[in-house]
Amino acid sequence: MILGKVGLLSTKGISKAELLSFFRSVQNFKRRFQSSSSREKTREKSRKESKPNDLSCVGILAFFEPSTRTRVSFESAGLDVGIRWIHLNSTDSSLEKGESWKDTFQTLGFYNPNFFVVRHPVAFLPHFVTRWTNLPVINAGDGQNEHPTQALLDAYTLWEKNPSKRWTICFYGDVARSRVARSNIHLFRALGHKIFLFDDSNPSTKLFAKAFKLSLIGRKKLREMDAVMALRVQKEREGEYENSPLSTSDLGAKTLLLHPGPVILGQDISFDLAADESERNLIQTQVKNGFYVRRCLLESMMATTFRKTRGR
Amino acid sequence: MPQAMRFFSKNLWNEQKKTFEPGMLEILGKRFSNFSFGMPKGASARAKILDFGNLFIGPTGIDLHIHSRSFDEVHKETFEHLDSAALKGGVSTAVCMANTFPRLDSVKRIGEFLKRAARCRVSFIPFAAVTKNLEGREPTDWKTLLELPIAGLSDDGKPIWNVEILKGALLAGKKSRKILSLHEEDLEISNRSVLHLSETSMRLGVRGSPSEAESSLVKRDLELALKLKAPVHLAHISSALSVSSIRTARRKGLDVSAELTPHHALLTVDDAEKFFPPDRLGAFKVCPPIREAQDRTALTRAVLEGFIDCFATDHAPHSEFEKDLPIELAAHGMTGLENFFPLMNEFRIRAKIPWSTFYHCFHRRPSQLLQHEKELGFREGGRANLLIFDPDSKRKLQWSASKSSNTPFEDWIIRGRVIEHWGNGAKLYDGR
Repeated sequence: MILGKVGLLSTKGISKAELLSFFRSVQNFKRRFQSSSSREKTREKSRKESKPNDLSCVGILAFFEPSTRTRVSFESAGLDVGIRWIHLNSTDSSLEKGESWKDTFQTLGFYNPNFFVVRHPVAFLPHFVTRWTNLPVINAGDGQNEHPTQALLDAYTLWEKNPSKRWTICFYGDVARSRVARSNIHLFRALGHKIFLFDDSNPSTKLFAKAFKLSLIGRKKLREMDAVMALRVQKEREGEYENSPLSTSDLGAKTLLLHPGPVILGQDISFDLAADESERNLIQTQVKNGFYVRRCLLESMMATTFRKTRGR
Repeated sequence: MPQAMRFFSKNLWNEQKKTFEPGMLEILGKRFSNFSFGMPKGASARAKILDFGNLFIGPTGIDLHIHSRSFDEVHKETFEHLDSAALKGGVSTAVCMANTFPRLDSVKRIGEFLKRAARCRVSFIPFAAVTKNLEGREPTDWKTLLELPIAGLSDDGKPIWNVEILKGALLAGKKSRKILSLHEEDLEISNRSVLHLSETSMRLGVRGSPSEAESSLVKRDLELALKLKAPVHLAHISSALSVSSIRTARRKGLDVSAELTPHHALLTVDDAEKFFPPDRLGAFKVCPPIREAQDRTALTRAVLEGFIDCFATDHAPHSEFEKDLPIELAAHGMTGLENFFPLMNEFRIRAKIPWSTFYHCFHRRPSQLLQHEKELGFREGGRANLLIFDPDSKRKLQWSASKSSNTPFEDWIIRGRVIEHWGNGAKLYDGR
């Protein structure tokens, strides 16, 4: 089970078997969804399930950092399985008036949601939300700590390309401040991939490599990688990161390109590489898979919390 | 005339020889009236005899660094709680930092503090703030404040960034022969960090502070103190880099004293992940942060060589709603007062520190700095403060005396236990 009792707070400890079974369910759903007739059926089925009166899964989307793709993909995926959403933005909350996070979340918990999706600038806050409310929480990014659903979709995107392959993958960019990298490392390791870091001679990158026992590689070695994941400079997390953007000439002919988005053109990756519309560019595939992965995750969330809290 | 009391033990601390020996001490009223070692002399008919057998008898602790939280933060700590915690932890004198609310930055506040402290069994001595409201901008009235019965000056919790103010404070400390205690932290470098900058902070994705945040200011301030030939005291030293600055300054003849806390003595940053799940990490947050094994080794060596010469708790109580939070939101600080003796005793055993060095840091040097060496000496004529303890009995630490229990040592099973704490010739605590 990817989702534990507490929801999905971290990718640490998720096993290969759990991942593979999850990926298969995502793939099945994606196939069904993509054939247009069954797509309508799926939508219809969801709509039937979501008759307001007997529907009982309510999720709170609590996003305290700007987000487009993560929030909207959660929302859309949830609507697809019949989840009703309550939206909470930083500006709505009594926090503006000085209320503590604990009081805010406990109050929200009293309004009978089934689970939370939380994005927050403070590391480990989602862990506390589940403790404070006794409800499952999906961590949609906590400070520089983790971003588990992004990692699931990244790992899925590679798996979908070739389920039996053990990939060599290199992170390129501001890895020390990247919660995506922190979540990805656990999953890639569980799947037996080999992870490298691009050596930008930044001391933080070196410390990160030591911390996670990863090898640093130079620019020339990037060509030998199966995949390179470029990372965004985290301006909002006090990023003062200097590095030249990843460009087409850095990559081998078959090297796949990933980026968790949003891409800052000319900063994370060069304009020519961004313009590369060949099959090696997986950035859009990642975005699309974000929907499928979150949809399957929410489906199982619904199955578990539904029974637990409504006794059905 | 009060009745004399005689304490017999096979392990009585001999302050002259710096060892434990079989012997007898006599208390008359509030003072030690006699020590004799070897074969005890015949008992005087009028004396009350107390035989402690194999239990140890030694001096009490003097803690130069606690946060009393008086006046307005009674949800964290009260004098009543502090009093019991200190007795349990073997501390007979505790020096309280000025960062209370409101601050200890005026004669009136110090007066109020002293009035409340006077009701306690343990002696609580305040520091006065170096600058008004600890803002680092405007000096307090040093001249008048230093004439009060206070330990000296400190803005602990915050560094003194302004060199002119620091110069003045160093000279004021020198003139008054009272302590100037410095919290060394370059706030630009530490930058609201929550752990030591390390593999651990990297793995957890939280902001880390390097040793330079401390050592750069230690270096600057020791150079200034050397120039002014002014004594200086460094609170809670945490890094190997700072130790080497202290060593250099001391060799150049500077009268510099420095503290080691139980948490910096016993923990390393690796313990954060080892012992604390993500939703308990707040307990590990302290300023300065707990650093690496090599720092702990350097701190231990500095104690053995005498460059660090005071044990101090930096007892910093916080209530659950301030501490039981994600580490980035949790308050800085740990409690320690009520288990000060067992924690430092465990450190003594692990680091193979001789008893003489232990008592130097636990009692003698802090009492010198307070100018109370004679008054608090473990010798004839000294105030009758003593601990009866068992240094080897293993026990799970209890955290109940202080109002808060934000400690990283919650379930620790360690050696050493205060069995009785006597102050001014009276038994104030019985830990049986």
